[in-house]
Amino acid sequence: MTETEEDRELFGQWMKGDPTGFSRLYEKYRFRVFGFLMRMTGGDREKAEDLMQDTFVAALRNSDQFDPSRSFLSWIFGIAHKRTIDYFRHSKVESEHEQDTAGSVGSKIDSPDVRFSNQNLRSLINEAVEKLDPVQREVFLLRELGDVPFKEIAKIMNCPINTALGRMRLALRNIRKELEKRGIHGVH
Amino acid sequence: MECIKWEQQGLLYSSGELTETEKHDYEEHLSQCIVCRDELDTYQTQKSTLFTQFLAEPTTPDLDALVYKRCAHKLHTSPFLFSTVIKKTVLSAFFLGLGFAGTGYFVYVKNDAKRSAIQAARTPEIRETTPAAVPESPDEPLMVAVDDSVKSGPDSSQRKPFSETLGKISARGVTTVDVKQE
Repeated sequence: MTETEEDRELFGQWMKGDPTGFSRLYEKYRFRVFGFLMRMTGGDREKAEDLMQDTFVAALRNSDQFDPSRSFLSWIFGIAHKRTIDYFRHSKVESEHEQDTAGSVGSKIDSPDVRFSNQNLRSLINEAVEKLDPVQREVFLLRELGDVPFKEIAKIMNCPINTALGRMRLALRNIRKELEKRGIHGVH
Repeated sequence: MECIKWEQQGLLYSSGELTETEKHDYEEHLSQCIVCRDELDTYQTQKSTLFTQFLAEPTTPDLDALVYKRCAHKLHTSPFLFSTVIKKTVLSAFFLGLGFAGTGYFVYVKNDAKRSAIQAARTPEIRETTPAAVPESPDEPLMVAVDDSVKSGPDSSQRKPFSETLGKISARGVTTVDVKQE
C-alpha cells in the first residue's frame, strides 16, 4: 500500500468517527505542519499553535471537499497555507526586515570552524530559510515540508507553474549561498 | 553557470511530475549536462540531510491534546439528512418562514384595528331607548323616553307625552304614523 493509499484509509476511518484514523494521521504529519506554520509566522509560537488548531479544525469542517485522488499531506498543507494568509491579512505584520531575529527560530550563528551538531545545523538552516523572500519561502516550505507537487503549489499560490518553479530555484540558490557563507558545502 | 532546463524540467523531475517521455528526455539531458547534474545532486543531498530533518518543528503535548480534543471525534451523522448544505437550507427556510409569518400577523392585526375603526366611524350609533311605557288606560298619553337627538331642552332622557315628542320628531323630518289607541 502506498503512503497516499494508507492516508486515504486513515482519513476514511476518521470521517466515520473513528478517532484512531485522526490520531495516526496527526502523529505522522504534525511536526511538518507545525514546522511550516512556525516559519510562516516568523517563529511566533503562540500564533503557530493557534493556526495549528485552526488548520485541523478547518480540515474537519471541510472534510467533504477532500479529493481522495490527492495526497492528504498536500491537502492539509493547502489548508495551513490558506489559514496563514488569512492570519496575515487580519493582523498587522511587521516587514520581514524589521522582525526581531532574536526571537525567531534558530537565529544562532556559528563560525565555520565549529563542528556542526544537529542543533547548529537546525539553527543555520532555519536562519537561511527565514532570510528568503516571503514568496520563495512559501514555495520552498510547501515543497520540502508538505511534499506538495509544483502543479498544486501553483494553484495554492494562484500563480503560473513556471513562476512557482522560478521561485523554488531562487530559494534553493539563496539557501545554498547562506549555508556556504557559514561553511556548509555539500552536506552528506 | 545555470542551465534553463534545471528550472523548467529538473525540479519537476525531482518531484516526480514529468511524464514518462519527459522523464526519459530529461535523463538523457542529465547524462550530458554537468550543471543539471550538479544542481540535482546538491538538491537531493540537502533535501535528505537538512530540509527533511531540520525544517520540521516538534509540537508540545499541550498543543497535541488541544488539537486532539477538537478534532479527533467527528460526529457520525447521516450524510443525506444532515449534510451541511441541506442543514443550512432547511434552517434558512425555517427562519425566513418565521419572519414572513410574524410580519404577516403584525400587518393583519394592524389592518384589523384600522378596519374596525373605519367601520365604527361609518355605522351610526345604535341608540338605546327604554321601551315606551304602555299606558294603563286609554286616556293616559303614551310616554316615551326622549334621547338626546330629539330633546327639546337641556334635560335628556326625560319621559314626555308621545304627542309632544311626535311633533318634535316631525319637525326633524321623521315620518310618523298615527297610532290609534283603543
